Amino acid sequence: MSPITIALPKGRMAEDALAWLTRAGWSRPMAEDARKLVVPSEDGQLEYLLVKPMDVPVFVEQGAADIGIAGLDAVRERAADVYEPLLLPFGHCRLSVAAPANRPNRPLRLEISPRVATKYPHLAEQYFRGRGISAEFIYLNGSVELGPLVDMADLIVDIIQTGSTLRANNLVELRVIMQSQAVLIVNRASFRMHAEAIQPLLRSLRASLTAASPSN
Amino acid sequence: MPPSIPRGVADYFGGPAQRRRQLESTLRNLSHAWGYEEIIPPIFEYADMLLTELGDQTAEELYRFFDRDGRVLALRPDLTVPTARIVGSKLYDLPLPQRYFYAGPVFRYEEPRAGRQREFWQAGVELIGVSTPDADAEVLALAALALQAIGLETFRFSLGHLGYFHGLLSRLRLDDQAVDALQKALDRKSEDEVRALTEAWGLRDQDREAVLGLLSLFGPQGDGVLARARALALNQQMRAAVDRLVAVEEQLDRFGVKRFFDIDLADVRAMNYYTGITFKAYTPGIGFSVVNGGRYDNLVGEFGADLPAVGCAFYLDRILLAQIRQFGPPPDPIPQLLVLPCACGEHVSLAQEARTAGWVTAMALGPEPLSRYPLRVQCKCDGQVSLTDAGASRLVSRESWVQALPPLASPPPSTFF
Repeated sequence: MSPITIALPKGRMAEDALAWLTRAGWSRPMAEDARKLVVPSEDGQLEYLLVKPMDVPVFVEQGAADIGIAGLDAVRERAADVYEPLLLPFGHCRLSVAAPANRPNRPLRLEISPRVATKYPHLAEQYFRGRGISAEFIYLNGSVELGPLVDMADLIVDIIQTGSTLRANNLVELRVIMQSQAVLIVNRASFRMHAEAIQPLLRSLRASLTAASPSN
Repeated sequence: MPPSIPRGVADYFGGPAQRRRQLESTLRNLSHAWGYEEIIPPIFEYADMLLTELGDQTAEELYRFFDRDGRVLALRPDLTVPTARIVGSKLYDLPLPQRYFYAGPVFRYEEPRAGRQREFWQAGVELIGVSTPDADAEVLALAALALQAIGLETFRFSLGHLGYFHGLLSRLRLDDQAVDALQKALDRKSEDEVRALTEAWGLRDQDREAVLGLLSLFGPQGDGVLARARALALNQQMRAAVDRLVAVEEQLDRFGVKRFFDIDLADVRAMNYYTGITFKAYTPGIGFSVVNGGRYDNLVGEFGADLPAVGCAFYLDRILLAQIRQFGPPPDPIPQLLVLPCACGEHVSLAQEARTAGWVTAMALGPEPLSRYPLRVQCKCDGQVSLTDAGASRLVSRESWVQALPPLASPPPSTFF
């Protein structure tokens, strides 16, 4: 049978993810050339893909990967139609609206066509339109905080972990759009077509999460 | 600049166009063999007809426009509601059961993605007038055998029953918003989300167990899923749903298709009009279901006579895409035989003779690249014809030339049915 394919987000979250998967007894990726994007697991039963965090939900929805580990923010932003059987205890952050610290203190709903810089055009638009605000969205791929500093944007919608980046750029958090953390996602067809391989993986991961959770 | 086309529509040509028609005719032939006859509803109707109370979840996705009297029309978002209208308002006193097959384009204004365009093709069957488990099983078995006939080698069905979920809801007395949140969480199979909801609502232990238990009610038949479901059932409605699935299973076994079915009682994303069993089919290569169906006992009644019904729809574009991903793209159709022109004009007769004998035959009109046609024929105007087969030519008699052709390879459709 072909191996089960797992999409991992490149970067910091991949390390946390691998630590948890290893603890649950999943076979680790072989140590290979770090530039390789497709890496078989040591026992050959799994195959790991390293992709951009925001793309993990796409790989899984399309079935290029059976399983993925992604931020909830990415899953919602890409509106991925996948199963989300397990929340994972890392990657905690929130998606928020922030503004320059010197913005006059008035409700967002009084804004007329604010310019909003963001990496999350879908969620940002949903949030503003849902409140009847017709914002103008400026899609950026990074350094979103720069938007207000160079007067390209009035507000930003971005991920906040500790808030230190915001403070460093003289921005303040106004509203939380959503709380996010890592989540394990599964392709809807794979969940059924490969149930006999995927269910044990989910069970072992769920068991090790329960064992580690402070409430037990 | 080539002309652009709107988002969500696609041009089909060559192999894929032919394959899509083949899919459709395979499904039509199979349904016909089971006694399902064609019904052809209009492509647009009055919007309020398509927006019954039971079908209103597609309201946002409806393509609506005005006719010249200012009435709101809409393109059909599926073929089940139009079929229910026709039967409920016109055909209700014909002998029951009534079995219908349909195929055609439907339209939904949603974000296009792989296998999900705004115009897409559905084929389907509706079995109207019988509420027994055997009727459910007939549609399920037909669907499974149809996927086999189409040539899909691997696929699985998930089979659920909305009565189980509705029975649970009647016990929990949640408001609409809470039901919506629970449905979403179950659809994602997110245990954490479901648990958070049950905690927020402060459910009693037994109720909470039943809600959380839903997510574990998944697995192949014979896996004890239905026994667990019965143990978690809190009322008669939930038990009745389990009994129904047991009876359906028995009948599926007689059809020899039980092995294709998994039970999934947490699969609660379905059209609003479903009342009983619901099912979906999945196949590798595409992350969405390729068949959706279920029992809808109240929909026909919206339009007149109250008749129970069960049916399903095949998503032809998704099936085509899955086939392409599993087996590669279908070859472009090429005529089996090319007839080259000759001075005496006999080539016209040659072409007709070959077509009568069942050959897909084209007459050369000038620009044909000959190498594209491995089998060619040309009249020599002397009682003989020259036959070229894979580069080798020979002369055969004008009278019996059709018999001299190589054995007629069966045309592609027969590989599917």
